[in-house]
Amino acid sequence: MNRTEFSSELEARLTGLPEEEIKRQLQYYAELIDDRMEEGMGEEEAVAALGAPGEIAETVFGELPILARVRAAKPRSTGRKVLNILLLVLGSPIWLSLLVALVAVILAVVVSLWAAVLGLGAGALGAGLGGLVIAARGVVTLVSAYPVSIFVLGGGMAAVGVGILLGFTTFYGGRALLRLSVVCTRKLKKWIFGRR
Amino acid sequence: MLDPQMKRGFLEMCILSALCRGDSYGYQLVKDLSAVVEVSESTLYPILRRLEAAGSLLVYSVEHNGRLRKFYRITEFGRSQLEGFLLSWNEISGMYTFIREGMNP
Repeated sequence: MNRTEFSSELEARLTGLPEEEIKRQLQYYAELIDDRMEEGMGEEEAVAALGAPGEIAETVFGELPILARVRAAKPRSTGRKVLNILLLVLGSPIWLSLLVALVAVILAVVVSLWAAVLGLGAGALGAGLGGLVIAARGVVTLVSAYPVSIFVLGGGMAAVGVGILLGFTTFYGGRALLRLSVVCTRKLKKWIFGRR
Repeated sequence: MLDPQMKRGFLEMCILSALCRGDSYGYQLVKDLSAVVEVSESTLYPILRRLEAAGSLLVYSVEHNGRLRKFYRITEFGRSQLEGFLLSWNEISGMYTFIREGMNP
């Protein structure tokens, strides 16, 4: 194996490591080849003295915790951080307003759904209570305003019936919406905080 | 059959000690250490990187025959680590004796 073959094979086997680290390793081994050749060794011999690229890669990945610690010890360039913050601030009119719009839309949808449920509930109450009042009127005037009173009583009872139906709808609809809200909130929390 | 973890720790000290005698470079270190202990270039590399990250040695480049050669130099911190290691030798040899005597009472 000549040095170019060695270098490219080692580079291929080290994929996964940060570019900087791979470059540093290739330089390290290139230097060793140069030094050996300076002492009089042939290129193939110098490359062979390093061992197989496969074995080297194995050792590297075996020593990975150490290398990871080395990387962690190096402070990330503050220049990069400043640039990122600057870009965020500059772009904020765009992404910020989009975010606000999205939140507004979501809120609008949620409010409408709850409004619908409340509306059903109000209808249930109205029909139920109103129906009761009308039915009572029918009972009270049963003798004096017969047969109209029968009609009134019947109408009142029908209204109560409608009220009960609406009541059930409100109950089930409200419960379903509540469950949906709980599930969505949980998912949202996981999405925001779940990456730990 | 020296435990690789233990060997790594000792190799760190060997490298630092070799640098006490003067700045050195990769290949020279490999040669010097190979005289004493079996070590390969690939085992040496992460140890050198760790010593650099810990601040025990520093690295600089010198031009040599049209290419750049990386030199290593021990730091004050590195020297203090060496001294600490030598001080701990009593503890180590004490434990070694204890272990050996336990096997041949």
